[in-house]
Amino acid sequence: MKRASRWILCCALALACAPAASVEFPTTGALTPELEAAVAAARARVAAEPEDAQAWLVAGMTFEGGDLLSQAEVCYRRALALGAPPQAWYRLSVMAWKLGDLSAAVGSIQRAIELVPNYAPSHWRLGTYLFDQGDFSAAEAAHRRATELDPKFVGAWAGIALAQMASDRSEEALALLADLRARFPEHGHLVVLTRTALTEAGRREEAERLRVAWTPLATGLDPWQAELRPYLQKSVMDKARELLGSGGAAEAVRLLEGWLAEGGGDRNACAYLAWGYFLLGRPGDARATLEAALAKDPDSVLVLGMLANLQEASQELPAALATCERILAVDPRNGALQAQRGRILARLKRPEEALVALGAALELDGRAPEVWAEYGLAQCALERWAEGVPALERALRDGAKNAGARGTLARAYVETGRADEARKLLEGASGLARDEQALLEELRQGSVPR
Amino acid sequence: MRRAAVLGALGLFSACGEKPPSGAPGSSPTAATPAAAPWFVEEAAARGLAFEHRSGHAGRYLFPEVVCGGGALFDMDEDGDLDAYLVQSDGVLRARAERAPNRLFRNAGDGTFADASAGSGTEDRGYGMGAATGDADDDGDQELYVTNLDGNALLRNDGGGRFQDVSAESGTTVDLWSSSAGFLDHDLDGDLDLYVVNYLHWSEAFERTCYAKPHGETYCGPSSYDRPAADTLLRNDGGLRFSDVSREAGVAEPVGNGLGIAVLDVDLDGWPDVFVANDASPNHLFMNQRDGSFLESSQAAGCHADQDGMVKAGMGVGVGDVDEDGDEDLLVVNMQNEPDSYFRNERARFVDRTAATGFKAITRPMTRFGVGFHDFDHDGWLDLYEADGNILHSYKSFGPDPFAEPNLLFRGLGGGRFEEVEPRGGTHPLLARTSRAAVFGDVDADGDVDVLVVNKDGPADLLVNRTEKRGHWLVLRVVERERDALGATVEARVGARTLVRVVRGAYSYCAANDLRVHFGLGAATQADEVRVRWPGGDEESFGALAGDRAWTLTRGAGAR
Repeated sequence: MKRASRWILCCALALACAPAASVEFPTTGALTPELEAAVAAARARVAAEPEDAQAWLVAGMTFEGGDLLSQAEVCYRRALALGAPPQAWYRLSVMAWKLGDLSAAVGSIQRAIELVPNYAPSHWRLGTYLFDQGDFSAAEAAHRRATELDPKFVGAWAGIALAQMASDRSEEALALLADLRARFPEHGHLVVLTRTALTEAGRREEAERLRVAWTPLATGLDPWQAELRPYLQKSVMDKARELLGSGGAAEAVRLLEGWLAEGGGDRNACAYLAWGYFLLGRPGDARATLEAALAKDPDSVLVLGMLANLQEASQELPAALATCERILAVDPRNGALQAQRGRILARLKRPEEALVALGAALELDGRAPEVWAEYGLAQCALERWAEGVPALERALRDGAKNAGARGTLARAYVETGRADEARKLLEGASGLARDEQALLEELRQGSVPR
Repeated sequence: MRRAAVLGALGLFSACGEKPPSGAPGSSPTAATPAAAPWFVEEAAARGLAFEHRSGHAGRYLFPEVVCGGGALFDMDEDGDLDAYLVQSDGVLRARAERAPNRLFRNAGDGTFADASAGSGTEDRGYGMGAATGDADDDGDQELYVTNLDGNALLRNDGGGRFQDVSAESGTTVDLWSSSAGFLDHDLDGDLDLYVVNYLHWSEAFERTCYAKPHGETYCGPSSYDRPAADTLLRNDGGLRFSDVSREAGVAEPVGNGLGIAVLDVDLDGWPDVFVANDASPNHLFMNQRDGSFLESSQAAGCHADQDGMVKAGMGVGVGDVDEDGDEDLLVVNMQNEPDSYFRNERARFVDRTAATGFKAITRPMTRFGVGFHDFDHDGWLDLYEADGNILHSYKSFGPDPFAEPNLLFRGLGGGRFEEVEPRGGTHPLLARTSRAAVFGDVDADGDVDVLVVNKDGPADLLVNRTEKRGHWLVLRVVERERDALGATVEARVGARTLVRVVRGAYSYCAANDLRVHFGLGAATQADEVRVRWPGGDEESFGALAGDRAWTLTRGAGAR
């Protein structure tokens, strides 16, 4: 070995086996209070134990949970240099992937696989990275390895299907997806992929028959990824919104009260706090909260909208209507409020006006099946059966839950001389209401009502 | 010696029980193919194009502030060069009269510019988003259509760099938040209609505050409002009068958060179809029914969402025949953590083949807006430029602007594969700004494609193409009835290959691009045959055309 090479070897030895050089704790800009506190705690732990791999790993996850990926990457690298466990390679690979460095992502996950060869999610990650690299056969092989290790790892099965589709092997993908849908019927995402594969295979009609909404794919058991979960930062608003939607009104109210007391939040937070109070059976507090917010900002559509919701839920329909109209005066293109106004007018037995309002709502945004149902019901309430039919058909086709839509459509069919369709509709339905059952009996007996 | 050292280090890692995988601590990411020199040089100020965009942000986060920044490259005065129009925004809540106006810059012919705004009639003061250009009154010069938050403007070109606002009398003031727009002859009646993409029903009263990690208070996304808008189709009735035919044409019902537009003939039936990139709502593909109406067909055609079925934040649209099969493919650019979507056109449907292109990983960390496929280095393969700038916060910090990101440049390798060009974005030093529109055209008349980048709350960049060229070129102006034949398809046979370009201004993001078509010819010195398929389907051959020069192809009158 030449002298220069020996010198380099010595240097490399020294670098590789000596204690790692100190690394500065990453800096950030201003952070949310929750994240600031978490980062401060991680910083303190690293300061106390600068050579502790676990402290750097926790710091990395703290940053990653707060979407500070560059900072997380620095910490994971430091943790690995200090001998962190294999999952640090896993985390580092995810950072590299998100930061657009595929070769680093592949390298890191391959290292994780070397250290823990039978961890299925690592192979799934590798498959994902290789797919993004355009190496579909290698991606498929990696995903297959993941499924061998964990046959219930649906993410890897889906990865195989995607690799087949990307290789213009849609029919193979379709066969696999059919099998997977039979084995994992709870995974709606497999239906989404089936639809894509059918479209790609040119089987458009079959694809169109699969009316599906996108659902995220639950990949499979991944304990290493689960370790990150406690570090995922959510804003107070997001937490409160989730709690309000999942029966956690008391906790949501506690969170929002604390936030507002500390000077955080805004009219958005006030509106949600009021809704929380209402759910807890404290309508007085709800009203007081909204009134206080309106005193500061009388035209806040957010706050007024919540007031209209509370009024409608409390059966104060004239007051709710007035609030809707107050909102529409400052925000005339508010389709949701137009729809709400129409719904309230219908409940107040003012169908002509309801029809106008609902029509305006649909002009702005015709996506909501419930608004089509309300519109069809309003048409039928005015005995405009022919106009009501297409609206109600569309509402039911798109999944409207309105209790009166089906029966009214059947009635509208009868009124427009389409009794056979009315009978077909009701016979094909389950859980008929009493008036629907009665109508069906009349249709079966041939005594079709006028 | 270098190799020995590396091997030595490898041995060492083994000795310590470690191997040095790519991406190991201390290793550097694999570099993209280095270029001998930057492909572009930023010369806006040096060439007199001094424009500073202002969103008007002043504390409170108002949604329109985060997506604005557009412009146009067009020949305003019929002198054969590209003039520039830059759209200003400047204060959502500010009165129109108090806002800084849009600016018009006249090209001296050599790619240097002088501000020609004063007295031009182009100083619109709407809260600006973008622009479209086209000869709407059929008099041979191009009108300017400006999209705004608060009412759009049609500026009639009276010649000699003078314009007149005819919005009200022409019926083109769309009173919605519009983003991109494009002129097209959707009913093939010979005049140019106007398709306007609308974003959402925004009002100050409905504005809200959103909070996102890591920094807290920030802009909301469109889903927070859930008030997507339908687009507007304005039919040209002649005499510069337009009728809103959105409802009867089938574009009024599908709603979406529209940002990008591309007019293309998806099924090669000679009738223009319209693709709209929607933000956080499914994309739309309006297939022309050949009777003045469209049928929204994105889901059936497979371009409403990505291959995984995921609806992403569609911003800008790139379009080009990437796979050289005669039809045009689409590239929709999206936000951070949502890679580009490359939809390969299979005539009756699209297939998402993003992963095969090489875009997927590199685009993931950025939020992309302006986009265009062009052969910047004349090697005969389409390259790709993307203008980036975040809407939340960037994963990496590029200075005090939390939204700043570098733009991206990819070199086409053929076969639908691309590789990133370094230095990143094709410039040295690195430009990292909050970019929105990328407007493409040959501003210095040297036969290659330059890029005008409009940056939110920053100076516009003029990226002059200085690529070390790998071949010859051809620039064609395609004219029918004395105006640019929007929608005409040009096929250049070069050896065994047939390259396809379409006369089009509307693509990218909030941009009106050069209407001339550009071909890189590689080693070939000429196109062996150039054929034009005129709107409606008639075809005409212009024979062989020599390279390294610009030609004008006039319907029925040959090439000159």
